[in-house]
Amino acid sequence: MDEIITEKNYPIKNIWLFKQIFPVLIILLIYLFIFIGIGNGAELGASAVFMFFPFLLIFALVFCIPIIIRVLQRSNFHYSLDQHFMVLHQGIISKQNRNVPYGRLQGVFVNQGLFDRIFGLASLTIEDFSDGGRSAMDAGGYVGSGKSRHEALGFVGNKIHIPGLKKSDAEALKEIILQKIKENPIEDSQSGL
Amino acid sequence: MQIAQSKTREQFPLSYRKIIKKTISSTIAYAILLLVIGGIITFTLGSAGQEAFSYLGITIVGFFGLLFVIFILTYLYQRWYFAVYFYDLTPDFIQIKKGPITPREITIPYERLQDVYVDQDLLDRFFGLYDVHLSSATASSGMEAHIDGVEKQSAEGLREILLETVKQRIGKNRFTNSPSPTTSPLS
Repeated sequence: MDEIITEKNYPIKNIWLFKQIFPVLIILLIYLFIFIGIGNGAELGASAVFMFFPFLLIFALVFCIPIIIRVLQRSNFHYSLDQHFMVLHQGIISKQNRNVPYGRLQGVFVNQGLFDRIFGLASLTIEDFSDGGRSAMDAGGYVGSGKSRHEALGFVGNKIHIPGLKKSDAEALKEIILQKIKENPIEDSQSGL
Repeated sequence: MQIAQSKTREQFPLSYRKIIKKTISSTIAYAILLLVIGGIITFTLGSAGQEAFSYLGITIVGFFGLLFVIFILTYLYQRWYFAVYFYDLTPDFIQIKKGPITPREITIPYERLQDVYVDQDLLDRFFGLYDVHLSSATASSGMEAHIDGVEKQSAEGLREILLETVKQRIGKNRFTNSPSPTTSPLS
């Protein structure tokens, strides 16, 4: 395996971006359905359009901002599985670079949420035991909490998240990382960390 | 029922009693929840001047009916959960996968194992079941990495094989003739 694996080999799918707004979309549709249902009884005049307009603006913002952030995050997130280190880059404005030795990795997770399952996606999470260059306080107690509230992309605290992979890609990437862990054992295992 | 079989699960099987135990424990939880909700509704209606107690018969029938439906659904879900519960001790990694609808999979290298501990809760004591926890140092592995609902023999077997493997893997790179840390090199 001479070729260095990067995010280009196992890309984060576009459908993952759609997945971000999917729950909001469903709620919005239900809301509109009810709203129109009520509106049918009353007269829908020109004033109704003006009534809708602020809502539309808010919804547009609700849709656009997360997607823009996700697109930027995704295009700024790079990883490459080098010979001995996992090299990661992220950051839209402030750039971060992290280099993790394979031997220090604590575990590899493959998770599928409900919406992941619907879209055939899976997210890969890799853990080591550093606090990612900042204290646990800065990370918002992230190190201590088990599950992330929002589905993250990139590295926060002791976790490296790569969401929105195709299921088979996630499995393949997991296998590659496990192979790397196997090839790079820690020589001195006194601490076990 | 197609069971997600692995070498390890063949050797140290999950107990079928786990399905019953899980069903009972979650039904109890739902029963308490229903009672609380029912209590709140009764209280609200009572304070609004309604004669809540005249509906007592219907309420009791409804309560047990709902509980029965919940019991059946939970039982089916737990059977499914049991069937897809996968754990395997490969030569290099421990792999655990669970969750029929939203699968979660964890892979831990043996060297990273912090401890192996076995515990029982109250219902586990009734059913003679054991939970084997094998977390690494991180919080999320502590939440995910456990094998729940094995019988005593399997729990002991899993513990033995895990500790043996960890000992071998950690001891592999150690110097065999390193001086004892308690004896000073000067003396």
